[in-house]
Amino acid sequence: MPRSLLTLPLTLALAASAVGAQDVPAPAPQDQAAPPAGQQPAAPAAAGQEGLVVDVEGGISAPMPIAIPAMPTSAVVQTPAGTTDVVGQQLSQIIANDLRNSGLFTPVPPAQLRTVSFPEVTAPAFDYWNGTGAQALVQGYVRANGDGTLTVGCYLYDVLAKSELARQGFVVSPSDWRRAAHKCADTIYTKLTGEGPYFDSRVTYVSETGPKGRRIKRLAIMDQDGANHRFLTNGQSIVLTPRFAPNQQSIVYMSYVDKRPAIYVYDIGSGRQRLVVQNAATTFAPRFSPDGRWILFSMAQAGNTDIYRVSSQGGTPQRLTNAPGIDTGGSYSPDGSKIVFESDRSGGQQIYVMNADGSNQQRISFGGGRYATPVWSPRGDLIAFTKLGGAFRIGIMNPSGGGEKLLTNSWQDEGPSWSPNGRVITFQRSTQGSSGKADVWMVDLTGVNERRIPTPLDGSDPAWGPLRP
Amino acid sequence: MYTIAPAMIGTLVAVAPVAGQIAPQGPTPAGASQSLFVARTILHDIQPCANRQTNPGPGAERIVVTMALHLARDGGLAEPPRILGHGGVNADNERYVGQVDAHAIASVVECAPLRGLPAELYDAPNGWSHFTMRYTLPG
Repeated sequence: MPRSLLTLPLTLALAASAVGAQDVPAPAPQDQAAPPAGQQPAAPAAAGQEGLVVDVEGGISAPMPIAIPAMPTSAVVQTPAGTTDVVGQQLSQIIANDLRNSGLFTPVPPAQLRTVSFPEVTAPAFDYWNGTGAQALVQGYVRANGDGTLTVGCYLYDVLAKSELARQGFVVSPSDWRRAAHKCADTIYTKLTGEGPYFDSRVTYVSETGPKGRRIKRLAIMDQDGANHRFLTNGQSIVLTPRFAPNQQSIVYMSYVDKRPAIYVYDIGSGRQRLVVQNAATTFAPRFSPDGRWILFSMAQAGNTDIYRVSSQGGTPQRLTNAPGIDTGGSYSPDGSKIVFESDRSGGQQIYVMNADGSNQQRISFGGGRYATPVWSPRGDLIAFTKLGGAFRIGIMNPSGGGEKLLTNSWQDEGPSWSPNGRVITFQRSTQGSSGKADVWMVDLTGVNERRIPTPLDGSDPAWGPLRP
Repeated sequence: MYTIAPAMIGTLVAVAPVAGQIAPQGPTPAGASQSLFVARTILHDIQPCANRQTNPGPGAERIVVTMALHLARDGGLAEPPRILGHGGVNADNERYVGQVDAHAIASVVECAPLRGLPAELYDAPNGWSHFTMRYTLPG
């Protein structure tokens, strides 16, 4: 029997067995026999009338060792991205960084990596890699094409089983060479974990600099790993709460043009921006619907703040809430049928869910403290929020309420936004004190793997974009 | 950017069950201490593979998977693990049941064949030819 150590692919391959097993008539219900989680007996055996029973607790979840040697090239060619041999080295480094940052993989240290020749890409030296402790191996190549593009090949191997698990090739313009590395990392991550991809995606956020109270705030965009950073606005007007359009071609945000807060849409390609709602009232907290046809936003009028929607092309807003108090922070469910939002109608900020037309508004948060900035997961299974108590913390709960879990425990974490696969959340972390300094951070659903995203200046209000096509 | 070559053409083939030759021997029931030894040996072999599993999401740690296992005399799987039932499933975590099932199955399959089990207790009452495994993720 082959004894592969690639846990998750085998898990996926065997899932069919589990499904098939459901056809077998099940014996008496097991609920009574099964001990509650965390209460397994220290001695793992029982030999009663039902025979031998063994209790196993899994999930210590050590990161998987994975080897990612530099990608060779068929011929060293100068390209706008650099020479192909150097690009090959950088590609493997980006893949290693992506996988390491996920918290699920430990790349083999560079000192243990060997040079891989071009023919060896499809014929790995499994015995050598086995000796490094790697369970998986990523090899690939770079080739400059006659039309100026680059081809990047990406191969994933099971070291112990000495077999190929996946391969994928990408043709990219030299300016997009980093994306080939993210796509390769996504292929590996998806194959080995069963989760959806997220490395080839971008984050928009508010870049901040200057003393507290006189901060210059600019709209900025970067890859999810902080690379390819650029500023979109010049800082003449304060900007807040940027959110990607589903097609990634534009960003909706709030700006204080002429010192009046209003909602604008910024076209990433042209650099042009347009006002969405022509209204004298204050409008804020915008967000696109999943199909991109609508923009949810809040509008304050006559001492009351309610949630509205307007066509993304502009027009007359449609009011969705009308309760006394402040209703804001609307976020659509992935299928567009529901909206989660925050409201202080009960006296303090709490989370509510309503149908997309504003009907059937129901409160779902009932824990102690207040809740703000709810965001529906792209998988639809969770809602992320900011829990306001002595500190601000990022948490998640079920769309029906309940199942609350706090993921961070710092002084002031707020404004969650989901990765495209719904496994990671980016948020803003502020430093305690008078500096007003804030940075962009990420945390996964376990709450264990937390890290700061490097930005040239301070960063606030990050929003994760969809997976790039 | 566009993609070339079919994605994920490599597959990891599920481990084929070994058809164990089960010899009808005169069974001697395993005593309590013997059963404890067998259970500890099984756990010793399975735990390294169980340790590599990841929690798929909040509440998954409350799911208890009960599974029937049939071993061959060489400690390999005589047939694929069979899910018998679940405990701790509610509306909040039911979407993770399939993933926890897969984790439970992989824990055994990846670490089989199991070693060091006493041959004389293979098909004894309370022996190890057939046994039940209950699997959970840590909270």
